[in-house]
Amino acid sequence: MELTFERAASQIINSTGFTVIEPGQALMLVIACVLLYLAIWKKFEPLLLLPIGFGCLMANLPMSTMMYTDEGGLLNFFYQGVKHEIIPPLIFLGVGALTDFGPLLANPSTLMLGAAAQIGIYFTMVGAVYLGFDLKEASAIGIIGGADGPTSIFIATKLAPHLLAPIAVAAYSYMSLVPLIQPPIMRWLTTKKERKIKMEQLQPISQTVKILFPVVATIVVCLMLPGVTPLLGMFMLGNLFRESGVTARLHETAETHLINIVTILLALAVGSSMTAESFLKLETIKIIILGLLAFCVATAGGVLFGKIMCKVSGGKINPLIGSAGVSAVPMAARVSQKVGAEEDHTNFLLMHAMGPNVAGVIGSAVAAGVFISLFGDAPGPETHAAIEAITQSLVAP
Amino acid sequence: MDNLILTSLTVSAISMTVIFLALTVLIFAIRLLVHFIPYVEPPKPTPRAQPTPTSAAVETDEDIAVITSVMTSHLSQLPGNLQVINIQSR
Repeated sequence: MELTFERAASQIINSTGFTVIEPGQALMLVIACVLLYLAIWKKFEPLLLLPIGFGCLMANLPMSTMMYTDEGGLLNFFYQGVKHEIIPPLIFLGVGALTDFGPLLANPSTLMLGAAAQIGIYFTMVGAVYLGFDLKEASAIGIIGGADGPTSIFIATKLAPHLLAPIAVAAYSYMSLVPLIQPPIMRWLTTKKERKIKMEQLQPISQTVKILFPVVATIVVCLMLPGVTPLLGMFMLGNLFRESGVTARLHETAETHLINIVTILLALAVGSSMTAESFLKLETIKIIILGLLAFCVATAGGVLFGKIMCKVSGGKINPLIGSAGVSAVPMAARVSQKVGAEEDHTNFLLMHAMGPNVAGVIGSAVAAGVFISLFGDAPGPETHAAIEAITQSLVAP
Repeated sequence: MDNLILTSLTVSAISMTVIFLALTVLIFAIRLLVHFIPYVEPPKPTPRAQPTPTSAAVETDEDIAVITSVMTSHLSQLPGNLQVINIQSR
């Protein structure tokens, strides 16, 4: 074949992305740049939003073969780790290695605050159904209220993989906005007097209890909700690495290098799923709104339950620690500390808030387990037998 | 739609009950663990006497350095050939 200058130039021009880029892809490139801006200059959860934004950028470059659906493409391989539920449990392993259950073990009643804050999940789920999503999709959207990125991704992959991108972006965006979303709700729902409550110093906990807790919690919760074992089991294994004292190298790897590597893979995989076809939909806007609602209701649920515990305990519990029941660790606990210190700078709530904060991680994992038990093993759009039974019992006179 | 909302409300109520139940069981498990394995304060390590350099010791070192220097010079020796180990006052 004769290659003239004109022909060669035309061939090169036609092989560039400029000739085939579509308006949707161009808009997604703008969205990717906005995510990068928020991550780099606004410091919004940069460890995640930066690689998510760049993954989105690469995925929307025409002919780059970086979309999650491009078989043989690099990010398609990363996406397999999300699709086959490998990466979120590995993140949980790292989170477990970073978590100190000491405050929770010293004041186990704070687990109730972690449970109460999960109300955001269910409020949002009902809202999502109202807006036209089916039950599986609504559950995947509702889990944003757990304020737990890996759990959101885990459930979205299982129940509504086509909604993974907007759910992940909403979850991580709102997690980074916790210091802005939570304080007004906390101040609105509590009195000055309540915010000034000083809590008693936490009792020290035996190292043996710290070692036994992850084992006992895994057995108890995973027997009740087997679907949650990949998440909770890995979370507790990471914590056992930390507390056992005999696996220093594994602990160090899990809390540093492993979690960093897996975060890069996860974020790029999520970014690669942000294609124009999957993201530029009315559903995305609905999910973004529902995500905000989920965070607000979860915060309110935690604080209100904190007020109940305050009354029951005779004013020994500061209701502000209830907001830490959403599992954005440790940011939500820091917000409790900050709002408490605004009223009385000698009031140190951080360690007390860490109890409900890690309880929130367990609570959202349990909520995920309930969803998996209800909807998890039914392939395709059919509802699970358990849901059919509920529906029939409601329809039956 | 109404039926679906009703189903979602039922699912929510059941799920919240399960969450509270699971976490209540965990609370009892923790209370049992803490009850049977209470915290025992570790034995305090016995303080060891640390030799601290006293001003007298510093002065002795300086004296040794000065005496070594003067003696080396007086005896026309190379530094290192002469070593003053100890000085005692009478």
